[in-house]
Formats: sequence, C-alpha cells, structure tokens
Amino acid sequence: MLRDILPDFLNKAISFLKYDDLCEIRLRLKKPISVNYKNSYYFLGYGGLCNETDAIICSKEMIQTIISKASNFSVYAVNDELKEGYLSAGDGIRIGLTGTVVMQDDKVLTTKDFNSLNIRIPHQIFGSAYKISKIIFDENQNVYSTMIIGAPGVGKTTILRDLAVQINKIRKDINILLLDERMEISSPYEGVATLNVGTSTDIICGGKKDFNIINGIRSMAPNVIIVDEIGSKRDISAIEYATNSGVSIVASVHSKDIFEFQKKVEFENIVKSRVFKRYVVLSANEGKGTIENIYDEYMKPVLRFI
Amino acid sequence: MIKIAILISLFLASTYLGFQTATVYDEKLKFYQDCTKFLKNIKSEISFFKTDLISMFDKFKFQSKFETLKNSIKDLYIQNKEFNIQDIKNIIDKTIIIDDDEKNKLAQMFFEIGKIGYYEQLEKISYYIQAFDEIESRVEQKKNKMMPFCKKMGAIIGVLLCIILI
Repeated sequence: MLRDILPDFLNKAISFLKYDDLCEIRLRLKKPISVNYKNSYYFLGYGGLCNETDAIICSKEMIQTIISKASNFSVYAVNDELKEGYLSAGDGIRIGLTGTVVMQDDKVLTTKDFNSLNIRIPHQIFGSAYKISKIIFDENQNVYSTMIIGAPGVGKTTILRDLAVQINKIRKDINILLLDERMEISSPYEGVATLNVGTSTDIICGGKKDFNIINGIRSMAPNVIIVDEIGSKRDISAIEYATNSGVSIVASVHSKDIFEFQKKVEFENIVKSRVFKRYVVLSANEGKGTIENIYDEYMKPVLRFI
Repeated sequence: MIKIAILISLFLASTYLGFQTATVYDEKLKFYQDCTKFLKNIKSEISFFKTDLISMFDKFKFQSKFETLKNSIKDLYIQNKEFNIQDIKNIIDKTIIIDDDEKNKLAQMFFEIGKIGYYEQLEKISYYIQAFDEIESRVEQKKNKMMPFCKKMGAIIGVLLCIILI
C-alpha cells in the first residue's frame, strides 16, 4: 500500500487527493514535492495541491524513510533493484530513483546517496486494451506477435496488463506467460498477483527477460508471452527464439512514435524479418493509453482500426 | 533465639545480595555474547540470502536480555512508524543497565541496520562485530574480577553485620 511507504505527513497530504487520479509522486532533494494528478503535474503541500511556495520541500530523511519502508527496512536486500535504478514497493508501486552509482571494474555495485524518487502508482483500467485485443487475433484466433510502442508514462504497462485479461476473455484455452521483471504488471504479494492479469496467466517475477523467455518456453509451454520494456540485444534474441518456437510475443518498448522506433538499431532485424505482426503506438494525447495508430508487419496502418 | 534467627537472616540476605550483584556482570556478558552472535548470524544471512530484517529478528532466538531488546526493536519496525535513535536508547534503558558509550553504540547499530545498501551493510556489520567483541572481552574481564569480589563482599558484610549486632 502507498501509505505504508510514505512518511505520515506525506500520507496526510496525499489524503486530500483522489487515489485513482494519482499517478506519480516526485521527490527531488531540497526541491518542492510534485505529483502527477489527473495527468498534469502539481506541487504538493500539507493540505493537498498547492502552488510552488507552499509546497513541501523534500528532505534527505524523507527519501531515506521511503526507501527504508519500501524495502521492508532491508535496503541491502534490494541491491539488485537499486543497481537498476528502481525499487518495487508492493501493490505494483515502482519507485524510480537516482543517486550516486557506485562502480567497480566497470560493474555497477549499487546506488547510494539517493537524491530523487519517482513513485509510480499503477491503476488497473479494465477494458483499456479492448480495442487492441480486437486486432491482434488472426483468422485462426491465434494471437499476433504485437509490439506496444509509447513514450514513458503513456500507459504501456496498464495496456499490457489488460491485454492479458482481454486475450483470456476471447480465448480461454490460450496459456499466457507474463514476465514481470519489475513486478509492476501483476504486482505480486508473496507470489500471488494482486492485480488481475487473466485466468490462464502464469507469472515469472523478477529475473532477466531473456533468461525467463527461454526458460519459460521450456517449462510452461505458453502460447503467448507478455513482456514489458524490452530493449537489449539479448531480449531481442530471446524474442526471436520464442517466435521461432511458435510462441507469440506481446511486448512493449519505449519510443515516442513508429518513426523513432524504426530508427532503433537493436530492432532493425526483427522489423525486417517481420517478427511482429502488429505495432500499436500509444500516446497520452487524449488521456493515457490513447491509441495513435496500429501498424501491420509491413508498417502499414491496419485498416480495421482506422 | 530470635536474635540468632535475625542474625542468620541478615547474613543470608547480605550473601544473597552479593550473589545477585555478581549475576549482573554475568547477565551483561551473556547480553554482549548474544549481541555478537546475532550480528554474526545476520551477516551470513545477508551475505547469502539477503533475508529481510524482520524475518531475521524472528529467526534468531537468545536466552539473555538481548532477546527482549531485539523483540522490542522488532516491534518498533512492525508498527511502521517513524522512530529515531532516542527511541532505541529508551528501549535499551528499559532492558538493561549499560554504560552510555555502549548504549550509544548499540542504539546506533540497531538504527543503522537495514538502512544502507548491501556492501555498506556488510562492512558496517563487520565493524560492529569487532566493536562488540571488544566490549565483550572488556565485560568478561570485569566479570572475572567483580563476580568473586561481589560474592565475597556479600558474605563478609553479612559476617560484619552479625559481629556488630552481637
């Protein structure tokens, strides 16, 4: 729960806001605290939203308290997450963090002296992927490999979560393997998903995506793998392995639009080899999860959508 | 007859007090032995399993007053309220009588635990193991010196009281 990780006064300040409209809390050391509320940024004061002068100024203690509480008072235990610059805080809440990166022999040991936190609060929006689900099935009712493209914060994770639900609604005999590396899609608590990700969905939490894709195929024999935020060459090799094994992939990637995505060198081969049959571009133009366009494997807009 | 009974009672009470005072040193030594044991245990737990703090508080049990202290501090964490180092010092005061220096170190140790990253945490624990090892040997020396002394003093005072009252 969000209130379990925040200092008391911050909980009080947040209590003036509607939880469902709260998307982010941003804390920057010695700067006013701001929130993303109803898709706009505001400053946060002791009595809720306010102007800059009345905003609560973030202190080092606040940051430390949040990290300490989010790690269940065991910061050492979340070192692998800290190295990657985030912290999973349960209930799907993910805390992005910046600080001093400690390196040794070109290897990141940890991050310390944290100076900024971005607390991202997930919201399950049932039906948010309904439109997408209509165009990702082929004539035999098999799922097309689909790439969800969007800039950070446009609702890619929410769409992926709902896609798992929608796919299960359309075909109950499809086994989905959800790779929840950062535990923000299913928001597991003691191994059990706290958010709805469909009835035929198996979840692998944590670990590395490439490893989980290959092992997940061997161990769980899924029809569809859903994976968030792919980007490394290893992820892409694993995706190629999966599609060559007859498994459909539904993945998301950070990119502003289809043109920016096409410029990414890592994805050059899979675009050429038409691994993905659908590319869905999201934006926040008309609220989070706005579908800007849907393209087929030849990068042509899908007529059914238009 | 009554006088003899009073004298014997006085002697026994004084000797008992001497023995009781002596056990304080024993208790203190056991407390620090358990403290070092706890630190060594959590160091290996953190190194190999990265076990979370609350689970470690539950996992290791002790016979000395350190168990009471550990449980009271665990309660502080479970309540999930913000607390400072003074709160820990207050708990120590309620649990055992120790020197201010030792109390500060102990409070600092409990306050810092779990608040820093993996490598820093292991280094800190190693530092505290060394620090409490030193305190432990100091307390042991004092115990070896003071325990027989307190016992003897109890008996001697008892005898002296009897002589005076006769």
